[in-house]
Amino acid sequence: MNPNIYLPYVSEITDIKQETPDTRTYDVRIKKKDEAKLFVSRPGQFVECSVFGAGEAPFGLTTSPQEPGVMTFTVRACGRVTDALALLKAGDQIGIKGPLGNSFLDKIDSRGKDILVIGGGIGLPPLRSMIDHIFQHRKDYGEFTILYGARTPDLLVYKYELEKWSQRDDLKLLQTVDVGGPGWNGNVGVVTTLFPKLKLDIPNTVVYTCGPPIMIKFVIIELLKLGFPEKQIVSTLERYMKCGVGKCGHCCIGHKYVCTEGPVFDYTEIKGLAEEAF
Amino acid sequence: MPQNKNYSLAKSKVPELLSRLIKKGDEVWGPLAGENGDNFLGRLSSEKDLAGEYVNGYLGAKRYVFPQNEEMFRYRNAKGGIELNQPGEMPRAVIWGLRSCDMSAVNYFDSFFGRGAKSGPDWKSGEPLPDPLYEARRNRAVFITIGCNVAGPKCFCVCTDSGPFLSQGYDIQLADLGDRYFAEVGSPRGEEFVNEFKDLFSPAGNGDQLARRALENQAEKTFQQPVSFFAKAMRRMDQGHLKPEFWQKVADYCIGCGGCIYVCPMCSCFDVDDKALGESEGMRYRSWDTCDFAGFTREVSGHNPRATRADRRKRWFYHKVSMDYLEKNPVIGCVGCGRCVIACPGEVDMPTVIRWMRKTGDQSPKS
Ligand code: SF4
Ligand code: SF4
Repeated sequence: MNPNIYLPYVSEITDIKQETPDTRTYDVRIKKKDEAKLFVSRPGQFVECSVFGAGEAPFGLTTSPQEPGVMTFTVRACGRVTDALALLKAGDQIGIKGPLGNSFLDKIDSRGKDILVIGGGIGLPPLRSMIDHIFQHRKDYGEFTILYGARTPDLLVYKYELEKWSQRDDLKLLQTVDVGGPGWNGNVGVVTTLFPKLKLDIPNTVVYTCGPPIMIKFVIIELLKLGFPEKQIVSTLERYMKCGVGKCGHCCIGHKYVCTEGPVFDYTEIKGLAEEAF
Repeated sequence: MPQNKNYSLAKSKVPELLSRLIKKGDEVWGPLAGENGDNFLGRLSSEKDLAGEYVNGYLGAKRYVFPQNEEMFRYRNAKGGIELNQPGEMPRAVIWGLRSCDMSAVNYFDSFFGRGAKSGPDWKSGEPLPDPLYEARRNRAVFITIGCNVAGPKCFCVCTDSGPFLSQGYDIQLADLGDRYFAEVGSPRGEEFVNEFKDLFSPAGNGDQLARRALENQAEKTFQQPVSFFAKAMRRMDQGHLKPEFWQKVADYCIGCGGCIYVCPMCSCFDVDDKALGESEGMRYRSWDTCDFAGFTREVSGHNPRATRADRRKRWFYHKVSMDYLEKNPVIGCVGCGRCVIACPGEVDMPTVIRWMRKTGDQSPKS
């Protein structure tokens, strides 16, 4: 990283995919070779992305690239920086600070275990970096299940990936929406309604979850009821964030900085926080 | 490491010292007299700006080491793409006449903004990087502090181990002995400074050290507002005795002005924003922010984890006097400067709430 922790790397948007009406996925590359070399991300980490003139905002990395200096993130346009980003096109320049925060890999070692990924709406993108990682090391992991829910079928992101994943025989993918629509033949209901459809070896399963706070809250309640050990429930937490490097004070939950001590926490850490996490 | 080298500086030489520094191009900061008899730490344009009698002014060294608005870098949309430029070198700064509490706050800032802070990004080296803006200002400053012979009416630094005199953490510490200052050197930088002005400093006279000790003992008797309940308050907080009703009571008196945080030398939260400086140019800057404002944690969805004033008041005190934070930081988040006592229109300042916390502990925790 730059010795100046506030200075971003000048980077270029190399590709953009439209996911939903207000959500796009950006492929980004750091411009200078010597700077790109320093950017090696691990699943679960995030970046602070600058649109100069509008400010910067944190985005979870959504892939686990083998090449340094490249990254992908998925962003819903819903604020000053994200709205400004939505106006950019491939070839435009932005600033990137990172990779920031910890990784899913810093929590319980889940190799040799079954994996259950539970994503809600725009919470799937950060989990995808771990999904990517598991696919890259598929032999290291046992049974692999992904549950993915969104409010409506329109709001499911990565439809092209979901399509591919549903055809894999080393992965079980279940999808649900809160409110169905024309052409939707799948499950209707919140993501926890998928639980009864699963046959889980609970003591041997690690859960990774990310999504709206209210979803995570109920997912964790259900998982605890099922008897999941607390260390095997791994979640990302979110807070309004400014600097991303542990100084500005915005993202603290109790005495923990989401930006530098998170964003990935296991349930033993979450329940010990001095403020409600969700 | 204090070096225990002692000198004497005649008060009559101070104007010359300051004017030589200013002429040399150094930034000189010291207590300035404000319009209504207040004083605050500011930059001196001449040695004549120095305030006369004062204890601690409204704003301490925070104004220098962590300015209210500070440029982080500039961006420019050039032909070849975006160019970023960091702020340039700044001259040396001499901070004159800083009070012990404010120096203690700078020492705490060192542990938070400085190298190895437990809150920085843990990069590949495993050695968290410092805040470059803070470090640049800190590294070019000489802190010349002055012990307090008489405590101010709202001061309680004796309870926070941050005054009225210091045993370390300064470059030079002065003690007011009437016609002269007894000057203790506390760092190599302080030693260098004395060497640079050898003609103004002389070896300390026999007995001056004893006189300085006597002053400290005397000063400790002048506190009008001792609040030595921090340990008890911390225990109340950590054992969960302070229920929502407690914070609601604090919130009922608080008008949410953020004044306590603005004046507090230990508060360091900031906001980051971009500002256009022309068609294709701009600056990223930070400015003081406070956990007292609802917008501090409000998310774009409208969800706010600290939605009520009671939540936010609790946050401020939790950050300053909880065991969780004391494990992270070398000291509690208060140096007893008393500024929030003066600033708070609702009289729910640090010492008041600490007293309430202690009393709350007197009742059964279950009640
Ligand atoms: S909490 Fe109040 S008394 Fe303590 S350092 Fe801050 S302003 Fe001074
Ligand atoms: S100074 Fe007093 S009224 Fe203002 S925010 Fe602080 S506690 Fe509340």
